[in-house]
Amino acid sequence: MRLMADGDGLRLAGGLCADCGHRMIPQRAVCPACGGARVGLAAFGPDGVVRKWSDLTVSVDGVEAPYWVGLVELAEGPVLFVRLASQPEVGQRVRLAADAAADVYWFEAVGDEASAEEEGK
Amino acid sequence: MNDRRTAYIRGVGMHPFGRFPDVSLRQMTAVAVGAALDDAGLGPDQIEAAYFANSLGGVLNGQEAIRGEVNLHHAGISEIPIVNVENACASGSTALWNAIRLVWSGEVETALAVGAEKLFVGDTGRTLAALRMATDVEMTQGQALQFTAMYAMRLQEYVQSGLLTERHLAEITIKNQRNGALNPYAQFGADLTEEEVLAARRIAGPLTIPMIAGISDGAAAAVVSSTPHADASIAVRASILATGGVDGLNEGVVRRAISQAYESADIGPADLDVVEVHDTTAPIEFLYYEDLGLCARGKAGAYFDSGATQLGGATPVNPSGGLTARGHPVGATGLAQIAELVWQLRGQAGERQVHESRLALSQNSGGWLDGDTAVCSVHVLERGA
Repeated sequence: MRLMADGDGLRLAGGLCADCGHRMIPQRAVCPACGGARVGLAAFGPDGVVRKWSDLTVSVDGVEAPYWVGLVELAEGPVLFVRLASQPEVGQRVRLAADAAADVYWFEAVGDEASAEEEGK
Repeated sequence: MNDRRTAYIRGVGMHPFGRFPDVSLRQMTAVAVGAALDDAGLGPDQIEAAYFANSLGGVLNGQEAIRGEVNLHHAGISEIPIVNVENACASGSTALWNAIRLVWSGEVETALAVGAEKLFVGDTGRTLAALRMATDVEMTQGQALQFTAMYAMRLQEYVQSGLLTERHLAEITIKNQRNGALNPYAQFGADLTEEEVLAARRIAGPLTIPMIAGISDGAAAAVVSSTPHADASIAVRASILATGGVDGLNEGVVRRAISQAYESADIGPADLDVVEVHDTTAPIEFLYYEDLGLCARGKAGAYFDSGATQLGGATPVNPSGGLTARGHPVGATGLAQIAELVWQLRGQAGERQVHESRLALSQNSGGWLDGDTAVCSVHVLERGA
């Protein structure tokens, strides 16, 4: 399981360590930070920031080139490798998008308007 | 130093790396093993145990199980313990790591480490899909991961900040391709110009075709023994295997493995005479200079510009041409690095021979897990007086 329903939206399934509070994706049986075995299921996302990215000019995995991939740091902390819907930049705010039936997800850029709105909060 | 006995690389051998549609995995294995045994001055019956490294022979060649038994039997190695080793692109060095420990422990006098891989199967898409399995596939499925992009991302900060320029990316590629042209075992190798490298087809970020290790077939082997080669003593001074996935964006496993190797061999970067690193893309070699401590953080471009890592330099890196020029038949690469370093230490590397050298280091990485290289192995070899 990679995606979790959360109200109207979808989030990413991960783990939260009951002993040290470390957050991880995917959920692991043992916490990589403290070694504790009490790791509960937790929902992460949908918001994140692109830390690194690359474009690709060769199609693979049914994805037509050119396409973009990146390391996205979720607001909760975990970093994951994902496909990006458009050319990003480092520091770009992105949000989870998914085709739940196909268990496929990617991240889409959050527009300037939405970013400004968030900063105003 | 502890009181364990010394393990020596007594013999090495290779089947050339390249595209060999008419040569089977077992035939390449037999060539590499035969050459390593000849070099060691031993017969197949003197090998007491063997580790067979191969990563993708199940999914690509259909031999999912007992690959070592099948391929080594063809090379005259049977009856003895044979262990199958899989650790993605670091499979070859992982086999060596095991063979060294068997000799260190006194369990055997002589063990064999072999790496062989056949990636050309007539369908590039199938090969690329197989290579993607060197990740946590449950997490990466549907994300169209390509390893070239992982390296482009590692270089991104350096390129965007100007610490590495396009000229740097081209020049390090030119160095490795030039070295590869002098290596009879190399798949590629050419005299390229900066314009040719930069104008070639771009695959990911700033990385163009000649900067990237291509699909390859090949095999390499090393005989590890409690007694050295008759003419040249090459001792194992450090043998490290480390796994990653815990350092996240810090990508710490390579630095961790190198630091463990320095500690184990009681040496530092200034002691190294010749180095082979895991340049699945030529420009990633810049980051390894810094991981190795050959230069300070952020100084890799300037260090390269000094000429230190060229064939005639103070610390030649990838005299073989590295992965990008020698080729990268996944499970064989780690042992090809060892073969190159043994030849260099013995003064048998022909036109690509570096200055007289005593201490050599190899760094072999594999897979990707949780933001980091999944596995990294580092070996340090020393030529006796």
